[in-house]
Amino acid sequence: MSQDTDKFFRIISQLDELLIPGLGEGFWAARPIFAEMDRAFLNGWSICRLEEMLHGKELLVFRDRNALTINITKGYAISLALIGEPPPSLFLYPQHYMARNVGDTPLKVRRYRPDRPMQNEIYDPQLRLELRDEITLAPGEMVERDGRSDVLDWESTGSTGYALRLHSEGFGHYEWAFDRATLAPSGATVLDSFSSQVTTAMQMLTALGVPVDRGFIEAGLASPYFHVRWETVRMIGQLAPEMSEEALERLKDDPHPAIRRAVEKTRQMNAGRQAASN
Amino acid sequence: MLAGKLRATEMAYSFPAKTNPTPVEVDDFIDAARRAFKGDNSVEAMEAVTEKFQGLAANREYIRDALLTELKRIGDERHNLASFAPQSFIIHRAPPFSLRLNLWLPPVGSSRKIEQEARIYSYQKAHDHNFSLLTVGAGGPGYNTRVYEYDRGTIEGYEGEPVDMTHLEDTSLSLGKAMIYRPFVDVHVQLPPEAPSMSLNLLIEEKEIVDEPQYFFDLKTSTVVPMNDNEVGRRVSFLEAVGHFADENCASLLFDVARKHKTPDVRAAALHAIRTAFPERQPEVDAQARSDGHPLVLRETASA
Repeated sequence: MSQDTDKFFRIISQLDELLIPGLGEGFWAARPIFAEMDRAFLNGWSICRLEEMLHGKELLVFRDRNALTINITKGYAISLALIGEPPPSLFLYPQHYMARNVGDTPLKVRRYRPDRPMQNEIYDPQLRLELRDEITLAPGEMVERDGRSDVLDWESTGSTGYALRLHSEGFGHYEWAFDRATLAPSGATVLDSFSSQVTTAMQMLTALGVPVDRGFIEAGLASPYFHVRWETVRMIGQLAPEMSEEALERLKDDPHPAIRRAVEKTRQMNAGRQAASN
Repeated sequence: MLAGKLRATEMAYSFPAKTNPTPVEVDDFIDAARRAFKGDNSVEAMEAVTEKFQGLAANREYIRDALLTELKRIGDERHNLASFAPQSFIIHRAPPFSLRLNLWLPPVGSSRKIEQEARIYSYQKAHDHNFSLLTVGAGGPGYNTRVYEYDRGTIEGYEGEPVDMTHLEDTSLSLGKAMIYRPFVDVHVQLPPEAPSMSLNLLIEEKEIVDEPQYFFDLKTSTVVPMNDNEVGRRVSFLEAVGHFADENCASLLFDVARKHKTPDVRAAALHAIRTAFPERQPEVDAQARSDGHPLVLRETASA
């Protein structure tokens, strides 16, 4: 064991103790710990994982787009982002982070913020991002992202840059994408993996065209996730049309405006069909 | 056997849908697969059980129940953060066999969603497999695919390496149709379906080939594009990063990986990390690469 591996394990242990699920804004109490997360920390991580690799153990490093996971729990995550050209879109991800340039070259970071209050669950096509700040992050320097309002756009103009990030737990279900030219929203992506799998299963069952039991439908209608309730209604239309009216009645006061609008529209269409058939 | 057997063919390994297939129970299918698979004949075994597999895909109640059971299992084990595969369900495990249900979506929704799904499904990205795959259309019109074949033995696997591919067929995985993708032989590019579709897949895990790298292929230039998010790719990405943070303790471990790891891509990446972190140790890198002898590893010598 080297000093760096000791440091790696000590810091992970401290973070495990501090960053428990449900901490919310308490995440920022990890600043003094993050201050110690430097290249030596990364060297300690490297040694640990190399030893695991040599001993034929499962390598606990995963690559998600341009980031390698260093540690992930329900309360926080640590990643090493590989910085190159900026992606085609800008993204607002509902998660705080602290980030340090741990590479050898300066990185450009642009900070955007929405021009009005926003709710993560309610998609607002009128919202626009505004460029608030543009900095050059020298090696060793750090920056913070407020996940409720900040879009940070990273760029390395030369070789691949490296940013070490300490992420909070997520506090929203959707990542918003924005068009880089117009700064307008271009869509939202579901972040919760299980709810995403539920909607996948619903789409599969719809493609299969085979009846499903009422309990599954009930669970879908009662889901806390907007996209699951939405997909449930679509599934009912295909697999259990006899339940459509009951589902519309239950969702007419849904907290999400998009579902309320869809219920209203469907009822108007049904009424129109009824009138035509009479 | 690393590379699958090449055969003289002008079409992909395809089996038309059966008219009124008899639904098959999963246990009957797995029994048939066990009888057919002798340990090193995955493609032949899959051919032998294709008709039964089409029958299993026709057993819609089984697929529904298996899907909902797996969904419940995932819900009960949500602490397993690394197991996320949003559009795929493993609905039966009977080593070395596993059955997987995949959803294929048309490109609708946000750009990020389309990009994410394209990445998950390798839409528009030609790739080979390091496992044998029997697949059957189980719902919807099915994804479209363009299939090529190549000879794995003729490439080393470095980025931009020219590869000779023969176009076999453009087709789709329509309802009830079955296809076999041969490991390290078939290259295919998937194109999104017109409407949500589903496939049922049989995978056979063959220990001697599963650690070999899969590749993407650039069809415009007929060249190799290494994958960075699979088992080999994430090791290579990790080692590349290590090269920027390594100290002397790391260096000896990197040399150990370069000497001992069974995958040449990983051995080459370990030497590349040493070159990055300790340029003064290039003569040792050269010596290790020459001792290794694999063409991918030899590319890390100073003269390459």
